[in-house]
Order: sequence, then C-alpha cells, then structure tokens
Amino acid sequence: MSKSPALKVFGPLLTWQNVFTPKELDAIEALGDALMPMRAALASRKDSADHIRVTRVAWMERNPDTAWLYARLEELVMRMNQDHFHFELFGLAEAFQYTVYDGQEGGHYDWHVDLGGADVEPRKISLSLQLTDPARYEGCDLVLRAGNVPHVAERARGTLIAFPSYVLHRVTPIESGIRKSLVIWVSGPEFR
Amino acid sequence: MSDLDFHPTSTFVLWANVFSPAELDLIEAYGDRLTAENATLLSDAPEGLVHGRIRVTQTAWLPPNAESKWIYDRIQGVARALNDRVYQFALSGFSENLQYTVYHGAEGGHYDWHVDHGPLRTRRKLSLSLQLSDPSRYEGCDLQFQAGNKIETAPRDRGTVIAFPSYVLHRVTPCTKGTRKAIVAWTTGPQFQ
Repeated sequence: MSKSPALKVFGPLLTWQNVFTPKELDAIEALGDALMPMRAALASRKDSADHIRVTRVAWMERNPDTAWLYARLEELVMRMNQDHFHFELFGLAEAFQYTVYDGQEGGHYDWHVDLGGADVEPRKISLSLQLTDPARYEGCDLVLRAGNVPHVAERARGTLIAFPSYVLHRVTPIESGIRKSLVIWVSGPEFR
Repeated sequence: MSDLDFHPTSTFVLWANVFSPAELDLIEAYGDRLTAENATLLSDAPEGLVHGRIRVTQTAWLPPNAESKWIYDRIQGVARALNDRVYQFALSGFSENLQYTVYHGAEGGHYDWHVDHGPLRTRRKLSLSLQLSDPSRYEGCDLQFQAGNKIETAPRDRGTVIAFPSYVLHRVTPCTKGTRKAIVAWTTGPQFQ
C-alpha cells in the first residue's frame, strides 16, 4: 500500500485515495481483462433491458491469482467498518465484479441501490475502485444521492469509494473512451 | 388498525384506515390549534448534503400529554406492528415528538429530496407519515420516493400511514393549490448495523 492514503468522509460516503500503487492497479486491470468481460445481466432484474444498464462485467473469483487482492480489500473493509460504518458483516461473500463501460456502446447504469434481491446475500457496503485514468474517458461519473445535491465521486485512478448499499447511485453515460472499475460488495445480515 | 399492505421489496409500506374520519377531524383540529399558537416555518438546510431552501413547511410539535395520548398510542402501535412484521429493525422507542406539518399552496410548501437518517440524525430508523387531508383539498404535494430508476408516489388517501426506512431518499413535491396536512413520526434506535 502506498504511504498515507487520504480518507475523506462526505455524509455516508468514504473516499480513500492511493489505496493501491499504479503497478498494483495495472495488475488488477490485467486480471480483469484476462477474464474477457461479457455483457452484464442485472443481478435482480434479468428481464430489464439495456435501458437500465449497459456494462461488460467479469467475475473475479477468489483464487491464487487474486488472493493478494482479496486480502488487501478485506483489511481495508475491516478498517473502514471499525472506524466508520459499524455494520454487522459476513465478509466478502461475493466475487468482485470487474466492470467495463465502453463509449462505443453507451455504457451506463441508471439509478439503483445495491441492497440485493432474493438470490444474493444482503449487501451492506458497496465499494468501487477507479481503475482508469480520468483523462482516458468522458462522462461515466459515479454519482450518489443522499440529499438534494448529487455527489460526484472522485475519478482519480486508485480511488476507492465506499458507501452503505442503501444509498441511491448511478453511473452516467460514457461519452468517449473506456472506463474500468472494480466493484466489491460486503455481505452481512439484513440491516436492523 | 388493519389494511397493512406491503411487498418484501417495497420501498415503502402502507397501512390504510389507521384512524376513522371523525378521529382525523379531531387530530386536524388539534394540530391547527397548535400551529396557530406556535408554528415554525421551516426553510432550513440542516444536513451536510443539502443546498438552498429545501423545505417550506409550517410545523408544530405535538406535546405528549393526556389530550394527545390516544394519537401517540395509535401511531406508535402501528410503528411497532410494522416493524415486527416487515422491518425487524432494532428500536429503542420514540425519542422525538410527533410533528404536525402543513404545506400551503399559497406559500409554495414543499420539502426537497432528503433522507431522515444521516450523520446528525443517526437515531432515526423508521419514518412514518399519516395523511390527514382529503386528496381533493390540495394539488401537488405528493410524498415521493426514489430507490431505483423510477420515482414512486405514495397514495394520498386520508387516514393512511406510509412507513419507510429512514435512509430512503424522499421528498414532498410543491403544493400548487390548497393545503396538505400530515403527522410525521420517527422511531428511534441504535445506528443501523
């Protein structure tokens, strides 16, 4: 981990910069690209068409190649939960989702919350790791709403954004280039 | 107290006919007396994630006393039953008084998008709103929710309680005509875990 990552708190959102080195980010990107992301199906609304979501995703399972990444994120999640969220958690029960928004196909993801449906464990914390240099794409902002002013997440490569999975958010349409990110959900018992 | 209506994935749940029309008249008369005495026009921006004049409402707090006890008992009973049957949140009680809120068309009453649970209000868990006004008496002033790509509008039926987790984004659209009155309640508990 690079020295002294900067943690910022904005309402229910945490922003953590420089959590990974550029070299580590390259390694994550290479792992994701090797999985050849396919067009995503919505986790809980398989009947919904592209007007809600257009993304290519690949599932990054826990295996010897990804063990270091799981270990690092487990440590980060534990720290932010101890210091900030204080949620009851099971852990990283779901595979990481490597998501690719492509300007050529109008990649986007309309407003939604991550809480989960009948077929997945309840999601408690959602995290998004920015993998692409902001100069390489236009649009494609992660935007969150917990009040009357939308909060546009930091775009810098290596930024980790974390928020309770009940917070409304979207990814605005990508206008050019390609944006890659790693999405992580932390599971736990239903909010109570 | 019947007419509970919910679906496991609902953004909000409904309980119709919590009070009879005669009881609703009494609550309205009581609330109007309180607002005439000490109404506060709220047009504040108390939380970190707000901008500008997000709220224009006349409000008064219902003092918990012998006269208001039956109102408190009924609404708190509904809140407990809803929590048992739908939410199962950890609750400690009701640390805030009931709020009587009045949206006037003449002053553009509204309450922009917000959540009730936040850094400064960590104890609110379940929010409830009782529709006091007949829908024919006002225009606009819809209680709306957003937890997906569509905005959902709560029913306007007089006597219906609408309940939702306090983290859900919601608003009251501008009142364009007439007056809408409601009772708002919050249950309290340890921070969401």
